[in-house]
Amino acid sequence: MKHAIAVPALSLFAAVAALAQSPDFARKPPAWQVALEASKDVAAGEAIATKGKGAALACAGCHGASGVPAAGAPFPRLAGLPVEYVAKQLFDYRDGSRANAIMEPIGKALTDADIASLAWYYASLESPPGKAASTDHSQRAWQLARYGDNTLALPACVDCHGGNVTGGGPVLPGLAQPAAYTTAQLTAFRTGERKNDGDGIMQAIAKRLSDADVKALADYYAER
Amino acid sequence: MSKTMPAVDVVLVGGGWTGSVIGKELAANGQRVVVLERGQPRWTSPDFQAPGVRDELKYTRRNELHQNAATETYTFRNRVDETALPMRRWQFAYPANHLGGAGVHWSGAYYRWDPVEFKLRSHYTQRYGARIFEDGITAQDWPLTYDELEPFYDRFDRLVGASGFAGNLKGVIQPGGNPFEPWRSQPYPNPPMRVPHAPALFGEAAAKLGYHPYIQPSALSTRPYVNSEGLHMNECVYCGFCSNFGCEQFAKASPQVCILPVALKLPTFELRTNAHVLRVELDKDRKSARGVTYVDAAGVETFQPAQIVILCAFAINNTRLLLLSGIGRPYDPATGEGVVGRNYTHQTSSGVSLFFDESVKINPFMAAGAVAVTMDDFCSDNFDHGPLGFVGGGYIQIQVVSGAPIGNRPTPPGTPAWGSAWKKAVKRYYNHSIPITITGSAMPVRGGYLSLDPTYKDAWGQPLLRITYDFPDNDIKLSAFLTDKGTGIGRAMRGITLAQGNPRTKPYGVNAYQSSHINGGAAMGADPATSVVNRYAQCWDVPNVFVTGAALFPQNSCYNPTGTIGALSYWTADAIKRDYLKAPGRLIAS
Repeated sequence: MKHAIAVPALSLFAAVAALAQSPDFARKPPAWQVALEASKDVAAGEAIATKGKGAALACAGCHGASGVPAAGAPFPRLAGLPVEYVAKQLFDYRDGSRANAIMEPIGKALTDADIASLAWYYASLESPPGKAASTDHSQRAWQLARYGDNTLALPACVDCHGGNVTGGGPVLPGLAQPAAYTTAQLTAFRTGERKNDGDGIMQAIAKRLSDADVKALADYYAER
Repeated sequence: MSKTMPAVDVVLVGGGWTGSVIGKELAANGQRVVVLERGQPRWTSPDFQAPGVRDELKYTRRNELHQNAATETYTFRNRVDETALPMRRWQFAYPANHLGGAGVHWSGAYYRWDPVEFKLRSHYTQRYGARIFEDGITAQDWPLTYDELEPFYDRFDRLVGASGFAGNLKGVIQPGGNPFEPWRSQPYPNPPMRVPHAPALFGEAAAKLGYHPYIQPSALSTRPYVNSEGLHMNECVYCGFCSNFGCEQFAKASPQVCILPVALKLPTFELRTNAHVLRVELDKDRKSARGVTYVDAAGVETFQPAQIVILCAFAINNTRLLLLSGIGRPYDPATGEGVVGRNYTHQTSSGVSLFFDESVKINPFMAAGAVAVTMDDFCSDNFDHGPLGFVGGGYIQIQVVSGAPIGNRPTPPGTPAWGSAWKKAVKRYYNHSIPITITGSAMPVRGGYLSLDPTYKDAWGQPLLRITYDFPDNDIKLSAFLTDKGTGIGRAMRGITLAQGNPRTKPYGVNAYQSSHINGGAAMGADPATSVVNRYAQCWDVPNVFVTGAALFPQNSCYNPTGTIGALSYWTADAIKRDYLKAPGRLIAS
C-alpha cells in the first residue's frame, strides 16, 4: 500500500515540475482583436469618420467622404480594407509602433471602442471597383506583383495580398492605393521607419527592391 | 546513338539536398562538378507562386513533384515466397523527382538524431541485455557518433535557417526547450514557429500529464534570414501548402532557396536537368568507376566520365543504382550474406483521430508543414524499455499541416462514406477534428531487403527496385505502446468528444501513407560484411563511388531524416576534400 500511495505523489510532483517548465503555448489575442470583438458599432464609427472626435480630426477630411481620397492626394484608401488591418494600424499609430506625425495624435484621441467602430465602418464601405487591367503597366511591376523575383528571393505580392482590392486576409490589405502612398510605405519599410510588420517581413522584402521597382509597383497599384 | 561528354572531376547523380550540398562544396574547392538531375528545373519564382501552386489536385493527388510511377516505380511483397507487384500510384511514400528533389516537397520537420541512434545495438545491449532484440532484427551501430556529427548538424542548421528553441546548449538543459534534445553547440538560428490552437491544446494536455511538450524545430524560416551561403529566406506565412508543394515564400528550406543560386555562379559547377542516370560504369577490374551513363532530354544515351561518382538520388533509389551497376555484393536473405539491399526500413507511424465539440475551432488551413507541439518523452531511450520488450521509440504531436479540401475530410468512425449523412459529418467536423500523429522508429529484419525485380522493368528497360518487407513484432509493440500514450493525451485535451487510436498493424503494406522516409540498402558501417559504405559514405568495393542520403541508414530513428542527411552530406564533402583527394581511389582511413 505504501508503494501505491507513493506513485501518485511522485506523478503529481512530476506534473507540477513539467507545468513550471513547459512553455505556455496558448496564443494571446492582440489588443486590437479583443477590441473588435467587444465593439461593432458601425454608426459610431461613421460619426467619428465624418465629424471627428476631440483631437481626432474627421477621417473624411483626408481619406475622402466614402473612404476614397481625392484623386492625386497622398492619403490611403480606407474603404473596403480588412477590419483587422484598419484596427491594428490605429492601435499601432496610437502606441507609436507605426510612426506618423498626423496619425499619432489622432490615434491617441481614440479609445479602443472608437478604433473598433471606425474599423468596422470602413470595412463596411464598398471598395472602389478595380479598374480593368491596364495594358501599359510596366513588365517589371507585373512580374513583381504576379510572380516575384527568383534572383532576389521575392515572392509575388499577390501571394499574401491577393489579387483584388480587398486584400489577402485579415491583416493583409489589398494594395490598390494612390501611388504616393505606396511609394511612401515601401520607402518607409526600406529605411526601417515603418516597422509594424511583425518580424520584419515587409522590411526585408522592401530592402531588396530598387528605386525603380518601388516606382513601378506604385504606378501599377495606383491603376488597380 | 550514344555520345561521350568531356570528363569532369565529380559527377553527382541527383539535384536534391545531398547533390546540391556536396556539389557546391566540391565545386568551391576547385573540382569540376556536374550534377545530373533526372527531372525538370523548378524555381520558387515563377514555378511555385500563388495561385498556381496552391493546387492540391495537381501537386498532391497527381504527384506533380513526385517520381513518375508510370515510368519508374517499386514492386512490393511482404515475404520472399510471394511475387512482388508494382505500385501503380504512390500511397505509402512520395519518392521525389525534379530539381531540389524531396527537399522541395518536404514538410520541413527538422530534427537531429539522438546520440543513442548511432550506437543502437550496443546501447540497448548494454542497458537491457542482448535479448531485448527480437530474433532476426539486424539493427547495428553506426560507425560514427553524434558528437562527431554535431558540427555538421550545426552547419546544416545555418544553411536551412532552422527554427526552434534550444533545449540543450553544450550539455546545459534550457528551460522552455526540449529537455531530451541532444546537445547543441549553438542556439537555432531562428526562433520557434508560432503555435496554432490545436497544438497549444495538445501541449496543455501533455504538460498536465507530466510530459515535456515543446515546439517542433523546423526548416521553415520564422523571420527574414540570410543563410550561411548569403542567400535570403523570407518568413513563413503559414499558408498551409508545404507538404507536396514548393514553398511560394522562399521560407521553407530547399536546395533552390538555400544553395543552388550560389553553386550555379561557380564556374566549376554545372547542373544538367532532364538527365536520367541508368548506371555507374566500372573499370574491367570492377574496383573503380569510370563515370555514369545517362539518358539526356533528347533521349540520347550519354556517357559522363568522372573521377568520382556520388549517388545523390532519392533515398532507396541509390540502392537501386548500386544494384544496377553491380557495385557491392547483393544481399541474400536466405544466407544473410551480401550487403546491398540489406536493412530496408520505413517509419512506424500511427495516429489518434480526435473529434472536438464545436467550441474548439481548429482552423486546419492555418498551417505549415512542420508547425507542431511535440514531445520526446517516448523517443529513443528516454524511457525504460526493460518491461516493454522492444527497442526504439517515437514522438507524439499535433501538427497542423493542411486543411486542403480533398484530403482533409475527417469524419468520426461509423460515418457513412457517402451521401447526406457523410456530407453532414464533413460539415460538422471539418473545423473540429485533427489527428495526433506519432512517428516511430523502424527496425530492419533479416527477411526485409531491396533487390532488383526479376519481372518488372522501368521505361528504360531496367529492372525495378523490389521491396520485400514486413514489420518485426518489435515495431508493432512499439506502435501499440505509443498510440496508447497518444490516445491518453487526446482524452485529456479540452473539448474532446472522441479520441480513437489507430496503431500500425501487420502486415506492412504500401496502400497507406507512412511518411516518405524509406531507408536503407546501402548501410554505413564499420564492417564490410554488414555495410555497403564506410564511415565517410565511400563504397567498400569501389572507393571512388560515394553514397548519400537515407540509403545509408542501418535502421530508422523516430526522427525525420533530413537534418541527419544534411549533416552527413557536409561530413562526406569534408572527408573528400580533406582526405580522399590526397589519395584518390583509395579507401579513406577511419
